[in-house]
Amino acid sequence: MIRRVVKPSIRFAKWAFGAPVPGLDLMLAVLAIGWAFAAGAAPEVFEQQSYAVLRLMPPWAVAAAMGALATAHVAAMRRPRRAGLRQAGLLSAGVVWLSVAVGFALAGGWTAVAAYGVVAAACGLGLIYVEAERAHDR
Amino acid sequence: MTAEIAAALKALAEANPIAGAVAVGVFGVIAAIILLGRTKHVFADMAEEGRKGTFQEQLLRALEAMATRETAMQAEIAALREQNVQMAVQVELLRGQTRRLIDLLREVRDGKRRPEHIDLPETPA
Repeated sequence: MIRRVVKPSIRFAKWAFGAPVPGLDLMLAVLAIGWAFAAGAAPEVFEQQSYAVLRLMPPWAVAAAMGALATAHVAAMRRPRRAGLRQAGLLSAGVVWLSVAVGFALAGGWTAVAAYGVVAAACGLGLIYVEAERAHDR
Repeated sequence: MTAEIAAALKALAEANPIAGAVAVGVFGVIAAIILLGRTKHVFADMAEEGRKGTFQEQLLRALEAMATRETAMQAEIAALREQNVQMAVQVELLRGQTRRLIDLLREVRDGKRRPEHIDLPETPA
């Protein structure tokens, strides 16, 4: 019984965190989908001062941008060896999440700054990692 | 729709330009590092170093495996030598018995011993 639970978990962990780490794109896709849904289902959350960066954008624009980002991440996750596609997604995501983190910093939401700062750092490190993997594959 | 897009772009431009500028700046620096690393072959060199390391590790593992196999083979050789000594002893015993048999046959041929006077040991089970 326990094997049925643990074995798929181990297989998933190996797929997600083993080279070339498609789990990074999966995590970013989930985050972007979450934001896209939030923009569509509960746009009032973007009215809060802490969401200053996105407050002035119409919810459909936020949902569309996040949806595009999520699509790029899913495409990169399915083909993690395509460095160009992956780097484009990671670079866009990095700019978005770092601007969100800095936006929170200006508004004073420090927990969110740390959280989105970590996400942005993962994007930056991911960019360098993908480049290193690309050189390794050659 | 066009007016909406224009309004959205205007809103995006007005919405906290500091945050956007910082983000673009930081990721611009990261992109520049990557591009510079690519032109200076830093990533390629590191990949090559990694491959060399991997090759050395593989070589070391192969040597260790060979050493282990050598130890096992030496133990096998020692066992075979011991078996050889035992075989030599058995062959010597067999030779003695054959000599004794030939002597008995000679004695029977020459009439020095009657066949019924030969003591035959019981065949071991």
